[in-house]
Amino acid sequence: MRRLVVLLALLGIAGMLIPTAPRPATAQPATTLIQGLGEEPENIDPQRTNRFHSLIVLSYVVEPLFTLDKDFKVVPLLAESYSWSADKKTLRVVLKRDLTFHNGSPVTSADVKATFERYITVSPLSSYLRPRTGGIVGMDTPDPRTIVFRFAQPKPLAMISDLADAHTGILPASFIASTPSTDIGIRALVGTGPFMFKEWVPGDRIVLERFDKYRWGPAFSPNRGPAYFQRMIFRIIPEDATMTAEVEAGNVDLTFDVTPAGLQRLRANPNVVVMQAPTYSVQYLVLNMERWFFQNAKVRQAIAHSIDKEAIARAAWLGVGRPVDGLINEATIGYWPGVKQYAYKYDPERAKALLAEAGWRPGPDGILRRDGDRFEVTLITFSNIDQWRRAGVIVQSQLKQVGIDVKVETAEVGATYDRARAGAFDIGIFRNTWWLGQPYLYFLTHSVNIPSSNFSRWPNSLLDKLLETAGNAVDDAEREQALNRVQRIIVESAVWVPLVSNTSLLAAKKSVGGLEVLGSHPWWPVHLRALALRRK
Amino acid sequence: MTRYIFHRLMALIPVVLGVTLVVFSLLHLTGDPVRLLFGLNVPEELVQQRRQELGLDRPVVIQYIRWLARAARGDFGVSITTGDRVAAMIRPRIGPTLELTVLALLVTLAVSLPAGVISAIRRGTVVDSVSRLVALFWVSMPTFWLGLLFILVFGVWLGLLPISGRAELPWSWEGVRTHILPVLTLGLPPAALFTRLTRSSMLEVIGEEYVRTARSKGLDEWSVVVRHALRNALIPILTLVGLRLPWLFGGAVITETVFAWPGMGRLLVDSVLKRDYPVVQGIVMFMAILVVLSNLLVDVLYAYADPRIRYE
Amino acid sequence: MRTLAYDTSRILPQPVRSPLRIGLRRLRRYRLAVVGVVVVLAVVSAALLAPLIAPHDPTALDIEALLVPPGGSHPLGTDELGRDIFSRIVFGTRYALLIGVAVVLIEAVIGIVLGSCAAYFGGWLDVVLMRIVDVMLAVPTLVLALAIAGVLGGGMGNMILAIGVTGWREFARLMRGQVLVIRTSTYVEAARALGGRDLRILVRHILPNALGTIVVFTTLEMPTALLWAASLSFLGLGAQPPTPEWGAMVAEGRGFIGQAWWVSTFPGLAIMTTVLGFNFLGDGLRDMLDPRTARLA
Repeated sequence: MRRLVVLLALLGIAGMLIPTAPRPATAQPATTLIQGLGEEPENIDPQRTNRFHSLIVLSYVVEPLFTLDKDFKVVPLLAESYSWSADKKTLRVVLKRDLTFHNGSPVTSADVKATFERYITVSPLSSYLRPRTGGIVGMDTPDPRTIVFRFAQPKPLAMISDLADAHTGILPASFIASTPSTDIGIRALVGTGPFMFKEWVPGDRIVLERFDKYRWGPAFSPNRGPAYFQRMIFRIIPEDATMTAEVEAGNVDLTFDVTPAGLQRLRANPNVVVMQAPTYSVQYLVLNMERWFFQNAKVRQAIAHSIDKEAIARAAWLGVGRPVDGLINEATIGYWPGVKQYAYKYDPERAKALLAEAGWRPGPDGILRRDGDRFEVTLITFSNIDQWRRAGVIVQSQLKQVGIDVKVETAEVGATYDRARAGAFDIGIFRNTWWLGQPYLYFLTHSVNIPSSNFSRWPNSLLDKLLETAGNAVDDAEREQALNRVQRIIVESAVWVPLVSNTSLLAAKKSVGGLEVLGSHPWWPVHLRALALRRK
Repeated sequence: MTRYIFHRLMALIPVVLGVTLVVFSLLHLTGDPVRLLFGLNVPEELVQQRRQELGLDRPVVIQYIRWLARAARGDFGVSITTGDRVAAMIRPRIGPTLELTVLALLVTLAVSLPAGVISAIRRGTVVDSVSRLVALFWVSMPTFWLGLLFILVFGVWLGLLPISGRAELPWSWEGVRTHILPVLTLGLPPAALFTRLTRSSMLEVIGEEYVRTARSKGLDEWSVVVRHALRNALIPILTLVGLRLPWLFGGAVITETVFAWPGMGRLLVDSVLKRDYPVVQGIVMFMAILVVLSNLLVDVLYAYADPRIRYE
Repeated sequence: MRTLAYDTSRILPQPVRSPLRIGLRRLRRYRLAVVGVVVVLAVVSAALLAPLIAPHDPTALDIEALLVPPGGSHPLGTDELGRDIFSRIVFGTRYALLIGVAVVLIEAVIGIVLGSCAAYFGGWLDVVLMRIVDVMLAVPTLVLALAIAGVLGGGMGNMILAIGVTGWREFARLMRGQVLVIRTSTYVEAARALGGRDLRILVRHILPNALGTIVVFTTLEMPTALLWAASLSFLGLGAQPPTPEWGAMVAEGRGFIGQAWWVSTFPGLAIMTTVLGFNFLGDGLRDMLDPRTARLA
């Protein structure tokens, strides 16, 4: 009897350990695409979010009026045509015919109006559209297919690209009115995109289902609708090693969350395709200008000179990513290559000299002192994103070389932002997550956004004026010049120090077709067009 | 028997209340939670409004009572980060965590009972000393390190088992493989300790009169050990199992994190890191209740097995 | 528990018990304790002599030497920022000991105070304390410590406080038991009869008698405290970078477990070895002080 039990047990154990083929795309049919998300979004509400991972998901579900092709050209999406008034203060947009939401109701101008009203009220990013800052003063809906935007000031023609922003994804007015704002993007989301929101199992997955009536894909997409895949499942996998393993095992078809660490393994795998493209994401360092020791420009420049961006790219980003010199990079609309010359080169000797000029002398422990005060600062950054945590440690080490004692305090992303807003830090390392140059620089550096998104706490009226001009001037050349000057001031002031720019990595199974369309966009996945994706 | 259960339930109530007190005060440890949410430069009206929304402007005692009343109905409030109802967030996580802990406990018992019995029988020999050494060894093993080692060896180097995630019910033969490493990680370290406990319990029982009686009746070794001694030795072991339950839930927190297991433990860690206090409160509360209930279960089984207890 | 040597020898098949065997076994028992002492001493010396033992600065980054396998100038390899793991482990002994001692101290103070007061004064104080202990028993220690550390904001100090505040119940129980016994002893009765104040009696008479047990218990609690601390650090609530704290080091290496197994493995080994050392030591101490009960646990 005993022997039988032992035998059975051994058989059972042996059976479990027999290496079988890695779990195939389990019970999922070939019509399901499984994407891996490395971070669980807080919500997928286009108007309330400004996080990268939310955008990955919601860009399948809601659509803005326009979109952009790979050359930054505006392409109509929900809109059919548009025209500006002679004084550039009125924009008239005509919607396409026969557009429907997922819930069956037709898309009308009233929905557009309701969405924009919500965007302006609720979104942290929309300050540039508010009346006070020269934004929208009114919207008219003369007929169900026409919406008229009225602006406080004459707007540049390029304003349209702001309307290609996924954050302005159109929601039905009735949905907005009947759903509590906190439920939108968590329990329910209704839009016009190729996929419908089905369910969200917290901590596990978000499930989208194909919208069969979809027919209005952008002109540059080989498939204008409906999508080839019946279902799209986003599996939430925060652990890097797991994500890599799941892609290798074939349980995840596609992911943008390949870490530098997993990259080598995936590249070596014959069943996996890895694509790279520069993204608009910039990792930057910002100084809290309410601190007395940062008031002296020499000190700030010294800090900028102490940072070896190459080292950060190699060690924090493991080679995936490159040093950048501007707060926005070349994958962003409005980038000025000329900003490079104003960046501070890595030069620790110069840094030490500048600090000495500013009155700081090394103390017995190597740390600088001035009138008895030690130069000690607190640096905050994200604990749960490896690249940021490592960058924090590297910057700490580099500043130590020139005599500044840095204490690193990391916390989860949300908690870190809270601290930044409260001004409870000296140096912070954050990230830039938007591809629209002017609105984003406005968001980050205009004094109206202190302290909600402008963590520098440095009110600079010249900068403010230039930012406004860059947004509102009607003359293209004037705008460009203003924006260039903005970029220059940002870098020269050394209040912000751009560090490294991400390379966007996409890893996908070979059996996923249509990736070329994806790869041709510099800022995928936000403008992801799922329509071309199919199983080969 | 029912009387006994009833009495035990009554005794539980002050404990549960005590736990609610501890859990509730967690939120108020560091001062104003609303400030913590918003930071310093937010207009006062917004802060006040949020405070009112959250009911934090009333005196603490009232807050506690309100919280308690809601908790009794199963309403643990709303998550700060997602706005979801806390109870709804916790519910899908309960199953995976229970799966993990129950299976781990089974592994622990499956390993330790036979090993403990053998150690007791072979008392004084090499086997016994080795078992003691092994016990100390396993007790010193950090759970998270064991998990990572398993992942390294079985997942990465040998490629035999999946390294994260959990297969949904119904489990396929393939799917169950996701359970192996986490269950072993949680179940093996306590097994060594339990082996020693089983051993001492067995030794104590073997010295009892009735065992000698059984022997003198001429029953064989196996019969004596299993049918008489073990059954009675199981009773103290049960109590010890009950005492280890909190540890098991604590260990589950770590195991779930290492293996990306979608259970309560991982939700707890995520919520703690995000400062999502209502969720943290809800989970701690829930885990405590689970422990209390399982202790009750153990007590009942104990009383069932040993009639003397019932009449205390 | 009763001693069983007499009873069981009549029932179980026993190996021939020559005096040599008995002696060997005793030596074997103490050998474990000796190993424990050696390990603990090694850890303490590493902590004291760290700058002399470690070949590199534990926080020095070396961008040219990222994730180097063990060997050569880096006996245990380097981590993802080029820091020497061996040096970090050596300096990590300081933090391990600091945290362990601090946690146990806090637990001891709280536990001793509460336990002795409960036992000495008895009555409702005792009942209340026992209820509190029951409550604490219901909540898993790690869970509560995690929650408290999180609320306080993480960091080494907060972590120590969190664990200390949740892990005192064993001390309380121990003290309570000790005090209950000693309280009824003759000299305490005499002291009270002589009109001694309660506090004085507690401190002057009772505590010193319990001291021996307290010391042993402290050693026994170190391993548990160290494991809890390592766990909290692993989860991200412990020391901030670049502190070479072992739990945090294991966590850092997690993302590279496939390419650079040494980053997580060696710090984990360090944790286990230290904890094992204290366990051996504690086990041996317990043996020596109370040989009757030793064999049964």
